Amino acid sequence: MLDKKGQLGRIITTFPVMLLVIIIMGIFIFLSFSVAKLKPISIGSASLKLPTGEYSLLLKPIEVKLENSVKAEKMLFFDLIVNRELNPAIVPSSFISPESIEIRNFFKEFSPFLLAGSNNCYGLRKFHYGDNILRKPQYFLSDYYFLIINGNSYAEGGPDQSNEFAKTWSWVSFFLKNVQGNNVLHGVEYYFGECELK
Amino acid sequence: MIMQMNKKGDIETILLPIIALVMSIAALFSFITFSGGFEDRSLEISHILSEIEFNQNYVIAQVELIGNESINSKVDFRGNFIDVAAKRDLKIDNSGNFFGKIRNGEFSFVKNGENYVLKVDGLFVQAKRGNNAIKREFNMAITFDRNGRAIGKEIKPISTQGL
Repeated sequence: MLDKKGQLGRIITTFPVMLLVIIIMGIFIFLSFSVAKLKPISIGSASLKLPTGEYSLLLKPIEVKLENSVKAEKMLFFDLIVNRELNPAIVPSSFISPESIEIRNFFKEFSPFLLAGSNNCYGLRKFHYGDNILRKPQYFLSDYYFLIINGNSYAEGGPDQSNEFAKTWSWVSFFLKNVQGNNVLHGVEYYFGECELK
Repeated sequence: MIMQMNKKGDIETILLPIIALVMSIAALFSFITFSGGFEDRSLEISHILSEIEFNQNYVIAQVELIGNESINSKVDFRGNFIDVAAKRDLKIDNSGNFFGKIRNGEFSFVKNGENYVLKVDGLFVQAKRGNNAIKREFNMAITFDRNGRAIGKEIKPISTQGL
C-alpha cells in the first residue's frame, strides 16, 4: 500500500504518460481527417446509370430471317444474342451491328434523350467466363457488337478509350451448358448514355 | 520519499503508450486500405436488382410476342400459345418458371369483349451475382386486342426475397 507521498508521486509520473497518449490520439485524429480528405468519396457507376429503359434494346422484338428458316420471324434482341451463342452460323453478327435497321431505329427513338449530354457512348458487347473449374473463372470478351462514341461507330474492339468507361457498363447474365455439360456464365454488357473520355 | 514501484508496475506504464500507438497505426492502416468496399457491394446489389427487373420484363416481353403470334394465327389459342412458347424456350434461367408453367398449361386465357386476357399466376424470376441472389414472385395479366397487340398489363408482385 502506497503512502500519501507515494500516491502523489505515482500521479506525477502517470501524468506525462497520459499526456503522451493524448498527443498520440490527437495525431491519429489529425491523420484520419487528412486521409479522409485525400480519398474523396467517389460516385459509383450504379448512380451514373440511366434510370430506366437502358436495356430496352435487349427486349425489343426484332424481325430476322435466319438461314435455316423459310420465313422471317420475330424474336427478342436478347434471344437473338443467345441464339447466336448457341449457333453462330445461323445468326451472323451483322444482325447485331450498327448497320442493322432495327439498331438504327432504336437509336433514333432514344436519341432525343441520349443526346442531352455532350459525350454519348452506346455500346453492346458479349462476354463469357472461362469454364476451367480448376482456375479462377476468367473474363473473355467474345463479341463486340457495337461501340458508338459521339456518333462515330467503331469496329470490333473499339478504340482504346472503350476501356475508360468499362466500369460503368451494366450487364445481364445467362447460363449455357458447354460441351462438357457444365454451366458457363455468359453476359451481355450494355451502356447507353453519357460517358467520360480521357 | 517516493516509493519505488515494482517491475510489473513499470511494464504496464510502458505498455500503455505502445498499445495506444499500435492501435492508432492499425486504425489508420484500415482507413488507408479500405477501398470503397461498400461501393462494390452496392454496385453488385444494384446489378442484381437491375437484372431481376430485366428478367421480369423479359418474361413480359416474351408473353407479348408469343401472345401476338398466337392470336394472329387464328387457331386454337391455348394450344398454339403452348407450341410457340416451346419453340421460343432457350432453356435459360432468365425466364424463371414461365416456360414450365406454359408447358404444363398453368395459365388462363379468357375473352373479355373484343379483347383477350392472359393470366399466369405464381411466376418467379431470379438473379444472382457472386454469393448474392434475389428471387421475385409475381402474378401477371396481359390484355391483348383482337389484332394481338398488348394493350394493358397488370403485374402483381407477391414477394421479393434474398436467397
